[in-house]
Amino acid sequence: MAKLARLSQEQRENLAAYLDGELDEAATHEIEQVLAASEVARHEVDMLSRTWDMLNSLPTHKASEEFTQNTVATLRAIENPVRSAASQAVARSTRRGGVLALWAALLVACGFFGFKTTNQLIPNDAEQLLDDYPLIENLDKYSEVGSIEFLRVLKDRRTFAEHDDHSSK
Amino acid sequence: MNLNGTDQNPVLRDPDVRLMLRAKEGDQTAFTQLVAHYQDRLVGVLAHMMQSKDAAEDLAQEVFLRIYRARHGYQPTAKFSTWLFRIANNLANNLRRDTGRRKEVMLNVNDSGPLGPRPGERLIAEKSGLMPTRQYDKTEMCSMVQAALATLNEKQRMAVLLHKFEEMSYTDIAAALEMTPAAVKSLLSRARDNLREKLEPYVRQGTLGTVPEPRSIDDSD
Repeated sequence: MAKLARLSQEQRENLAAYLDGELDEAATHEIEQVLAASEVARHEVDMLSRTWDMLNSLPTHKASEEFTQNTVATLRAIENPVRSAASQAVARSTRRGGVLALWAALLVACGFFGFKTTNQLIPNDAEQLLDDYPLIENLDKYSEVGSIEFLRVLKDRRTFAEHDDHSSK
Repeated sequence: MNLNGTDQNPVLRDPDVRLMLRAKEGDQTAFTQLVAHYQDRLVGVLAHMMQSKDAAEDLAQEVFLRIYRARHGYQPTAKFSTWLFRIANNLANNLRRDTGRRKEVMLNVNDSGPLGPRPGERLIAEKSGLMPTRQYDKTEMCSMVQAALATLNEKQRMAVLLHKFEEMSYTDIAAALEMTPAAVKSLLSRARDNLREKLEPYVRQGTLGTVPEPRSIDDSD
């Protein structure tokens, strides 16, 4: 009857481990005794072994030829954006700074142009007075002379030429 | 960091850990070597997990991206492969959570494209009704095993794939799946039981001749 006795769960686990070579010496000895005594155990080991060997018929799948190349390329693609992120940030800051500087220069140019335009187009009383200042300063003398023609005659006759020479010296 | 200090830290004996430490120091070539070394292994496991090679490649690339981003904080506390598959498992879980439901799409066994929607359970049920003495060809066998694998839950499937194809120990699988080795032992035992339950009918129907490299078990007693 012992030959046909059912195996316990532990014995079944040990049978699988025995086939896998995972039992220690004592457990191996014990399971070999069970195998020697039990036809059920022998049948069990036989079937476990045969069905396990059927796994050899499974196809072997290999990675595609480009797998390593693609994987390494992906790694580099991941790595490079990290490195270029810093340079992109610098480039972004530089571009932003350049745009700001351009706007500032444009603003200054507009201000200068506006100032010049308004300065020339709108009449300024003070400036007119400054322009006429030499005339105003000598207005009494010009009034005494009376006529510009008279002054030209005096100049042509060189009446005051000697006085002019002395004064020029 | 002293790359030669393997006496202090045995993990440093792992050449991939040393490559990762070089990548941490900024060596792009070292990281490229890691990608080249693990791409097929990772895509292979994830293709069975995701049941789509394209999805597996996308996820594998995401795994490498995560590792690359985490390189500066990398500490060699486990084998590199364990760390890599832990990230892969977490990302696969996240993706499944985001997707909401598992797509029941089978892989085309001959090329990378999906074969189309064929629920695994239904396929197994259909195939179970075939003639009892029939020998299955390699393509049919592959479909049946894929369907059986698809019936495992995600954790069981990942554990099976890591153990079967990555030859990872229970301890390493435990580290990758963030479980205890004892829990992995139970997990793999249940996974084996489930696979056996789905595939035993084909074993009984005399299909073993088509299984490559069968493990011989002395059952003469």
